[in-house]
Amino acid sequence: MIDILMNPAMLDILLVAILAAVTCSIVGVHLTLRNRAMLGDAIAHGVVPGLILGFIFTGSREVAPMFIGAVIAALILSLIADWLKERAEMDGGAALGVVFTTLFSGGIILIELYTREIDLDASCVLHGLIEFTHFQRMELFGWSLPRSIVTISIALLLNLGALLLFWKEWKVCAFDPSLARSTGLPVRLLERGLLVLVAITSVSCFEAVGSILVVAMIAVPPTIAGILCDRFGSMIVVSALTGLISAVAGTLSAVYVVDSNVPGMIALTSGFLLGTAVLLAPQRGILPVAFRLYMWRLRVAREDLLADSLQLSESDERLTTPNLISTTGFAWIQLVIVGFIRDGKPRGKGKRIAKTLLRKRSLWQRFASERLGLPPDHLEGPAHRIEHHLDESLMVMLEEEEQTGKSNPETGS
Amino acid sequence: MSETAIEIHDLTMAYREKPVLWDIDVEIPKGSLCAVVGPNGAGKSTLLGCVLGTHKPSNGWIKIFDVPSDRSDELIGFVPQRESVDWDFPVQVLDVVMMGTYRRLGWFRWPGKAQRDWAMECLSAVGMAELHSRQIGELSGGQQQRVFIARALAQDAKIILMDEPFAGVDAATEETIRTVLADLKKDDRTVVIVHHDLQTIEDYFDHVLLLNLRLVAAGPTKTTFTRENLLRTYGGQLTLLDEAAEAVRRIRSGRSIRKSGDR
Repeated sequence: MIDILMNPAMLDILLVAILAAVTCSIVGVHLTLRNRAMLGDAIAHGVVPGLILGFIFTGSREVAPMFIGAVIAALILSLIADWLKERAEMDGGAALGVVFTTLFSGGIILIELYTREIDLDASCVLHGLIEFTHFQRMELFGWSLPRSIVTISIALLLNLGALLLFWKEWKVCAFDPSLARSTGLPVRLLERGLLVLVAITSVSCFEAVGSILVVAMIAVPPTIAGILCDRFGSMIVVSALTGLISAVAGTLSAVYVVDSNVPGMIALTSGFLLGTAVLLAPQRGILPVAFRLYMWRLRVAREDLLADSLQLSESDERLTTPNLISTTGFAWIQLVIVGFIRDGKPRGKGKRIAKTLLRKRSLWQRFASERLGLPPDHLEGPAHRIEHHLDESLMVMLEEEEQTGKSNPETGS
Repeated sequence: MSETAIEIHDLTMAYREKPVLWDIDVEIPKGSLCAVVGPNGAGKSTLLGCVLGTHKPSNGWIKIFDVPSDRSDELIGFVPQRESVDWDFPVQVLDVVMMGTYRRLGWFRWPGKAQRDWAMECLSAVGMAELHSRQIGELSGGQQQRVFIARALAQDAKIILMDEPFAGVDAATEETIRTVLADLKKDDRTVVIVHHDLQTIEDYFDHVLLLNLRLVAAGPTKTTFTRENLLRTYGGQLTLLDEAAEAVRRIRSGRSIRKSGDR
């Protein structure tokens, strides 16, 4: 870690990776919320002919003409895709897919035809030239800075500025376009503006990190943030943080562990993070949900065991040990360890829990048979699990209900 | 009651020559609770869209409180169909209601404490204040409807349009929504609702607008919601329009009239 910070070339690579990842993951939130994460993919590829044409017309690799070409290409892409969707009645995803692949292949052909002698290369479109960041420098205010750091920083500032300026407008457009339109917001203009922003973002990150990283960072960190957050603001922050973590972890592992392509490792890291989020997210993650359900089933099993043993002990019998390799068995072991059950009979606090549950059970069964009119054979089995969900306030309600039901029985139909 | 909230004149709406609404003339008085009734594809949602300004009519005009709708400052509240909302969107209840304040706030300004307080007030008006920090997907159907009504209140909308708020809700929820509607009427707001359940029209609404591409009838429920008008709305009186629509379809698909007439 220390030698990275000491090595200026490595530091530049790390910086570019972080800047690119954060920039893309911020703008990606907007696209993800519109269910259009793949638009990032489409634009990242569709801008290629614009880039090349900008280069061909001016014959230079200045930033400005290539930028303008790319933004125009992005707009044309979205216009054609919208037109196909509305006029030719194609599916939105299919329209986008058709247009961007056509444009992208056109761009590749253009590269092969016109730029053979120069150092524009089709494969660098895919994974960029991040390794050379340090050596492609430009002068800015008398400082010599790596070029991609400057361009990506500009894109990041643009992104942040636009995000803060149009925060509520873009939020409304994404959530409820009809509200936006009915209050007179120029929805189309705002959405096109967002496209331009995506185009600027992908072009500025393109040369440095390639399309793989742009596509991954537009789609993956926002999706992770969507799993973890339930507010727009926190989603943006979490998405940017996830992008940052992917960039740092991906760059370090690419350089020190596998000695491989940096953007590829960053994208892979973000995919790994996504998997982790799906499995472990506290609210919606698969494992925490399963764990909470299992804990609940254990509690039900414990309460049932206590209640059963209490009922048996009243007729001076004792509960036999259940099969230990089962949920009930595990609950039994827990009860024995804490001493709530001894010799098959409830003790101390276990007795109290059992009594409460039996009270709930009788309340619930009376309620179910008298007020809901369920026949007696419906009161056993899973149906009686409801008793475990009754808390104090619900029990009081049931008891009151019973009182009023008794005082005027004709309402009990 | 004589003041007119919404005046629609000669409104025609067509999607690429396919007629959706034809020559609608109707006035909806202020403070009325008006049901828009008609078969599927009768153009009910489109009519709401035209009033709201999200659809541009091909012909005709709409006046809101005597001001042409494109020049009107009046905000119209809209409660969308439940299926058209993305309930997984990362917003909490209060955020949705706050959206109602955005327009008056204007560009580049951030909502502050005043907007928060106002939004909370609107939430309390529909009895949802204590759920303000819930994610919208965690609400029940009736609560979701009430959040959007609160948003219309936050817009200070004197006219509120609702697209099938009663679709697929249970009896208790229906009752809650009705209570909220009664409160809106008490406030002298005009509420226009696309409604499907013909059984409840007479109980719920004081005005009714019968629609089937054309306006069949409109007016107070007592005099307008008649068996005869219903038959005209749902019955076979519209063969002329159907045939016109069929002709347009033939033109678009390029098939000759003779060929399709052969069946």
